[in-house]
Amino acid sequence: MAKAEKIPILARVLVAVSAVIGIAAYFFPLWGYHLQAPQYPEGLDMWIWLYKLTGKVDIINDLNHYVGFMKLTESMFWEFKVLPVLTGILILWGLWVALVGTRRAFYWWLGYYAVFAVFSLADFYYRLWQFGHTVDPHAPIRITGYVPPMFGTKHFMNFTISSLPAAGFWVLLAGFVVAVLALLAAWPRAQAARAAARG
Amino acid sequence: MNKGRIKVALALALVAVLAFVAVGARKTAMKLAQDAAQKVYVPPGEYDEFYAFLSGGFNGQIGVYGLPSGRLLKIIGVFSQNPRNGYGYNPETRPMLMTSHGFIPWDDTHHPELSQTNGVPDGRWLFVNANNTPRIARIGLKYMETEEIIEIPNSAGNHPSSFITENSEYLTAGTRFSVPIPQKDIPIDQYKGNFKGTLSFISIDPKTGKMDVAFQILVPGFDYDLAHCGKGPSHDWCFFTSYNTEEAHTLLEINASQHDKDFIAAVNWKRAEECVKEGKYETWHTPYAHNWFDEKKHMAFSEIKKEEKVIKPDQCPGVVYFIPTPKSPHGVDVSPDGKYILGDGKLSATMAVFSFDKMIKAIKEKKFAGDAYGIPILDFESVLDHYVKNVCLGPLHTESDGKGYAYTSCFISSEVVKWKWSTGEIVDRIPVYYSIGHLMIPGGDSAKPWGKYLLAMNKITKDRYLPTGPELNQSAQLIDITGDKMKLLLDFPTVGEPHYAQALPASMIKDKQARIYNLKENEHPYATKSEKNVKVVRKGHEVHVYMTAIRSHFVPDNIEGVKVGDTVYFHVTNLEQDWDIPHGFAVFGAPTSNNLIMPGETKTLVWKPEKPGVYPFYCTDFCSALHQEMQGYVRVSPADANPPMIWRGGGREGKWIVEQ
Ligand SMILES: [Cu+2]
Repeated sequence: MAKAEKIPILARVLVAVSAVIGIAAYFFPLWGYHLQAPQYPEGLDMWIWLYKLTGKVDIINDLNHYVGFMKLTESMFWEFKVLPVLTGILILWGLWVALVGTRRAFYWWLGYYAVFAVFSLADFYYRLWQFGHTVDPHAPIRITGYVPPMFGTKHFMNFTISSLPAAGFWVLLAGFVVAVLALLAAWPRAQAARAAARG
Repeated sequence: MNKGRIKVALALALVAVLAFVAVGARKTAMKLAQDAAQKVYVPPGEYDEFYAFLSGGFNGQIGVYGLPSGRLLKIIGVFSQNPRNGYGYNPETRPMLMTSHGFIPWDDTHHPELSQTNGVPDGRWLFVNANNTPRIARIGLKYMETEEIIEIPNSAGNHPSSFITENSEYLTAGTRFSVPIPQKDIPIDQYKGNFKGTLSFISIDPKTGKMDVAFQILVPGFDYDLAHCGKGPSHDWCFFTSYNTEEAHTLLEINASQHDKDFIAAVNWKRAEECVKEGKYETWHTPYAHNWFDEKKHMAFSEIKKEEKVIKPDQCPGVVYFIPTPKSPHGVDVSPDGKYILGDGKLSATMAVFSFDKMIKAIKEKKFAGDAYGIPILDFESVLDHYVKNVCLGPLHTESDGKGYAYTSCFISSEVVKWKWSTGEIVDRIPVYYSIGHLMIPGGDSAKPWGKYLLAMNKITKDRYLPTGPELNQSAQLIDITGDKMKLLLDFPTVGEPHYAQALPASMIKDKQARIYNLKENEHPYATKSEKNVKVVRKGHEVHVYMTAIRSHFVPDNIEGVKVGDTVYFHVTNLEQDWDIPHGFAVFGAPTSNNLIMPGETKTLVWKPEKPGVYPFYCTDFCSALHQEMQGYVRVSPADANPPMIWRGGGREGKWIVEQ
């Protein structure tokens, strides 16, 4: 594999598409929580974005104090500062890969995307675990070892808590799928086969 | 023998038939009851179709009910203190009850009226009059709280009030108890000619709703009872009934019931506006209070005004005419098209329907039958359109269904009578239980009634509900008016004595209801918007506690340093921003009510402790699972003691700030 070996145009286009899709992640929340209780038939929604929390965060915080959960504020998450930058790098780097089109750059970028995805999800799960295990020992109601759901529904006291990825996540996932398609298009054997067919 | 058998057989057959009829009748009655129950059944969790606002009479409040269920939704404190939430007790709202006679914690609410646009209720404001110390209040329909109260100067017994003009230009006010105007000390038997009335017009700012006394018309000393303003062709006019044109001052029951006819005063308010413009008025200086609630500052303000424009009819010809009307009329009602004016003559079995066009013609052609203190009396026959004959005993008040029919309440014969506006033909009657005063159809006094239901507001309840000692609630009966025959659907007790009501479709205002006060927009000078900012400040003998409340604690919840002789102000801000999470605040031994503080709101409890000791305070609203723990203590030391000035709460401790 020569250093300056290029990936096919199709793969470059797909990389560009993948990068552009990623821009949408700034405009949609990544994850959504929906809390339902007898006193909240209308439900309480909280949305996690790349860089902020929206929805009924204050109300959820007020309720959380009974069991001593930490108060959720945007400033306590370094992720809100870092994730937009990491996503920005992903997008710009992708565009650059599409432009130069070298296989080496493409692989590095793809690797970055995969690590970024795994790291983000793992960090998210860690945060949930931490949330459930950092309770005020003097809280009126004592609980132990509760971790909010990441996917799906859990019951906690009077609440039914559902957690599902939201549009921003799906956008990034779609970007990743397109990146994988690019990988298929650039797969050396496939490329070699196509080259052979062209003779 | 045979005859005997036949007799027995016949008797048996009769018994069978009677039993059959009885069972049938019971079945029919049950079927009817089931039909009625279905029509008023609002399943749990579902909403009523109409908001109804019923005055509270001697309870001085407004009751908000849902129709057709008759469920009581809220009591709004208006002219009476409301210990439920501290209205009229706390310094924020006490200014609302200020008058030129000082602080008055009570009044008698009578006639609620919704603001109108093009003659139709528009869901912006509700107004209601105070009869005893003449006032009008404005209630905002977003917060459903009293937002403004204006006193009516130069008046007494503000009964023909607060009726509105077609585009909410003015509200009416008037003098049911004529008095010396301006007030002075004279023998009561010099009533005739010396006692006067005023018919007042209160302007409404179309943007803010703010009220002002625009002008007052000085009229003879009769008893002005009710009013209604014109619509469509009669837009420029308001009509006021009067009784006691005899000008009796004692035993009115007899002495004020001698004349065959009393008067409807027809007031041309456009003409009055002209006279004001042309300077044809006198400026008087009777003081009156004007109070308003600032929703951002969470605080009421009161000012005393001292200037009013008084129009004397002889200086402003054409401003008022008298229409002779059968015996001591109570209500005066205008048909939805504005063409007919009806005087409900409570001591006559026949009602006179006047034609607005004929009235204008009679005025033009000067068909007068004399004058009363210079005010022209129109010739009865020239203004009369037709009679409603033998309507009932004691007709009081009439509303419309928008389909050409009028419904009149009859106090003496305890019934509602349905008749046709255009002909006076009676088409139906239904008994009510008992002695109905006013009745109300949603939009029934507007240009476009919604119809559907009629609410009878009755004065005598007696045996209608489980007895509760000598004092019984008044009753309301809901009647279905969709068909040819009126049908009684529901019977429910009411709070206070509703004298009149208004209703509008729930959809018009339901979604505009405020759920909280925005904490960020709270401009109360003593608001504490975060637990970080709590403090206790001593200014001489004043102690200001800047306190917060959130589930489920107050900060501070320990206060030490108060001394006998101090006045303690607990300024409590509810930090919650969630729907329906109020907190209450009450202090042991404080001679005042509790405060119920809505999310984002600040309210103050003022207390002058008189004896040393340690006094608990607590949240009076069951706000959360730990509501019982929402409590605290304030220590009171003797006047000459030197206690440490400290506070605790929220896991912190602080020292007071001492200002000079
Ligand atoms: Cu509370």
